[in-house]
Amino acid sequence: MSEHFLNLVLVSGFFLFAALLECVRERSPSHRCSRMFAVAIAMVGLVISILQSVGVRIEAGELALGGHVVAQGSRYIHKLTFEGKYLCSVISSLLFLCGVLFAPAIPLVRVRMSRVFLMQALLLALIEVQKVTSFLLVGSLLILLCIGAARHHARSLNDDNRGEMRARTFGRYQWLALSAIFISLGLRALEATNVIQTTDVLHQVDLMLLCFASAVVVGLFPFHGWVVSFLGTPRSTIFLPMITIETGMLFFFRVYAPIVSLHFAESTLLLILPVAGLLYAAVLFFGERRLKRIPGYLYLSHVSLMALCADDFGPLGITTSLLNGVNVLIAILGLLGVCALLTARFGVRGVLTPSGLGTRFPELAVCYLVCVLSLVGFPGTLGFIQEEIMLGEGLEHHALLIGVIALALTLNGFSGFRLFARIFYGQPFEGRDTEIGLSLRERGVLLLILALIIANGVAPSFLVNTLTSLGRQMPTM
Amino acid sequence: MGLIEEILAAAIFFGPLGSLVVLSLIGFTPLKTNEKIVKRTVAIGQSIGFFGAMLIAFQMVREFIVNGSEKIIGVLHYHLFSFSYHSVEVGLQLDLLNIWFVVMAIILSNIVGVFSQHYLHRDPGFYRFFFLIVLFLVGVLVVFMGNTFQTLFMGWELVGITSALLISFFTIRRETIDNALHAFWAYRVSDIGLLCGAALLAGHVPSQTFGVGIVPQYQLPPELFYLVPFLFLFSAMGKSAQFPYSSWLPRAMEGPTSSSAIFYGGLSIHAGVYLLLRLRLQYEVPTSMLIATAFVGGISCVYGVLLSQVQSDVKSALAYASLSQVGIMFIEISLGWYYIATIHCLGHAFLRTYQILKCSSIIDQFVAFEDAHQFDLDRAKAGVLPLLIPPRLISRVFSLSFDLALRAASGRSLLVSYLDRLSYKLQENEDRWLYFVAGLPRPQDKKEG
Repeated sequence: MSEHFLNLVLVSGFFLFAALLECVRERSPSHRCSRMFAVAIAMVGLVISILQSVGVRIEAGELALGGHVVAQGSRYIHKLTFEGKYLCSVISSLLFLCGVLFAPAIPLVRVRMSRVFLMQALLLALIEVQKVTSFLLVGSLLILLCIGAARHHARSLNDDNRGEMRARTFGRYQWLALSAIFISLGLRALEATNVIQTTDVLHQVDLMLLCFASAVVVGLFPFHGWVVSFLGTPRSTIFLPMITIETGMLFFFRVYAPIVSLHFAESTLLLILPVAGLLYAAVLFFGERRLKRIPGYLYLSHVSLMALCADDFGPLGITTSLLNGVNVLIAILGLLGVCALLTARFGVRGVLTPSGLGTRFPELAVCYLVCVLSLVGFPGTLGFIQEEIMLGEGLEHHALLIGVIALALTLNGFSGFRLFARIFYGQPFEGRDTEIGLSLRERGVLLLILALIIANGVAPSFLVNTLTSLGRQMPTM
Repeated sequence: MGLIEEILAAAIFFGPLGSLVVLSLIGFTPLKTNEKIVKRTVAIGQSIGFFGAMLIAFQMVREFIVNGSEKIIGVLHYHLFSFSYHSVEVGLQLDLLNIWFVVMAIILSNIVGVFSQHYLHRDPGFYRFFFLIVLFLVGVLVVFMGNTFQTLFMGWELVGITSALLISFFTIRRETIDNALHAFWAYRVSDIGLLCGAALLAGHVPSQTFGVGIVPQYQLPPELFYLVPFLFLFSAMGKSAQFPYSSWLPRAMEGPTSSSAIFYGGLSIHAGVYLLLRLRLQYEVPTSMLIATAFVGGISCVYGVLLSQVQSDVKSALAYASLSQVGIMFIEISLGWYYIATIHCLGHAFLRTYQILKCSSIIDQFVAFEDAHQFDLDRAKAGVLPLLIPPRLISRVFSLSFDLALRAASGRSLLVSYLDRLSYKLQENEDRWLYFVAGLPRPQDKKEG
């Protein structure tokens, strides 16, 4: 039995078990009990991930060897080293814990926690698997669960069929990705049973299908339709958007980036599309006035940047994209958290265009500002490190890209600050429950997010070195 | 002696930085409402910086006079990260150029700090103001002490964001927010120049720290010879509110008087001058760039003089007057008069800060002046100007100035308006597409139907 299987059982199995327990527990609903249970599960999950990563460091040589042996049969997939996997697991578990700590602020958890635990288990399995077929199967299952959760969430809303629109759009885009995945799996099955012979054309078609599926799952331009509206729905829980983003990132780094950097690196189309996406997202964001849409637009911009790095910056591009990905995950979580905490206090209608919240919630203002500044590459934040590397690498390959990246970041910076001024300055917003301030737990999780962004911005060596070693291990196809 | 110098030099930066860290921690506790603790924390950091700066300045001048040597004192050298063959180092240093700017920054921040303790007494934003002022001081010290353009850029961005946050300090008023956005837009656009220029320099000529002396130290690579100086000039124009970026400067006076004094009278507005000085002392630059600098400075100077004459409030008049002086500094730099530009910059910063701090009580002062000197307004108006220039020309120039001032005050950035419109259109199309994909009628369409 390989170490991979043991790890899979240990991390994913724990969340699977938690999902089963939650199914039983949900028969007697109690919000307080639900919160405590979710926090306990998330903390144990994080501890397991950290312990595993510590264990790996002790026996790095032996386990890394095992990893390569198992991974030899894989094709079209980024073989994660053990260090890489555990970094991903720790980040995922940390984000999950932050999500749990944010979510109990909301009086009614509309997405059932058993489903959330199951999704987290599958997400960790997606990090663990080393063969492309297993990756696609687990990924499909996770996407199906996300579609189901989105529909369930939409049914519980009554907002002038906007919720229904979001869920349907998300579902239709994801079904498009699933179709491509299923065709690819079908081709593999036919090839494995010798019904069809492997040809170059078939190989190219397979690669394109996987690229297309990954582009839709991660929300790359022009398949980004679902992103902004879907990320703007953290009214009851922020797990669903976060797990969707993490799934997209895994598809991007393990499937899209290796294929593109090795097979389509010279493609002009794959250079033009991210540049167009970057500028399109920046212009769309420019006129935005709604708080809930901020994470979506900034995510869209950064996904284009990630694609640009992976397409054009050669083997080091994946590392640059990885750094970008970590920054996006942490900062978007912070922004989603700000939205969720405000929604919990002012209701859905109240947070459409709030104002004057700075005096009442200064911590939220600081968190919002730091997260946005990190996403636009402000010095002292994680985003600055990513921006420096991106500009340095961009200079090596296409000097003109520097201008495009700088322009997009400038526009995003201005739009972010304008929304900050609109939300946190001005006449104080009079809504319901305005007297409820932030609890200690909520402040703690905001502080954790800020600390992650600033600490990695001031002392980024550890993260940069880890991600460099992860990015260097390119796939062998 | 070397070790003591290094400790004193480090104190200049780490004093205010320590204050910033303590203030950040206080911000998470109820202590932030305690004015005494906040102002003492700020005062301790600033005083440490002040003593360090004065002693180092004295030592450097003494050494220059006695031995005739210009030395560089390294303050901080921090390896941020390495990636591939890029290595990003952050470093601070003191030399005979920047020590004067550092001393100016520390003294002005001390003055403004003391002034604000009374000016903002019992203001709900007392803590926020001091936090932002200390953050600004750290940013401006990084700008002046940075040993590469990349380090300088880090401070440059900090100065920009603190400036926008302080303009919108009185958060209830709509105008302050609009004006902060106007200034921030100018900053962001001009920052592109420094960002791209610093990245290009770091890519082509890595690890070239600033040198000493009034002769340019290095030659720019041929491919960057024209591009980088113009990018830096573009950035300096934005930060120093030179024409055509000038309109943000009077609007930026919406913030508290003390922050206006330190930003737009003292330090922030001279950051562009410092950038150009550094560029010219570091690299050989093309003559076309020098001509462009002189041209921008000349136009800004005339524009500032004209508009300052027709302002109805003191702070705006001072803002335009600052703009014209900075324009003259641009001309001095383009002519290679580095010492004169530096002395002009220091003198102007102190005078303008004093004037802006005094402008709250200007009416009192003016009445007292009139009483003391039996001031005759008609006689003053009759002055020497009509003897030198025909009255008709004066009235023409005045009407032109009024026209320009009106445009500057009411104008909105055309680019912002255009981008806003484009964005709304794209959003609407996006919305339409999403409902089409979902197969549902749009709520708006349903109502119309």
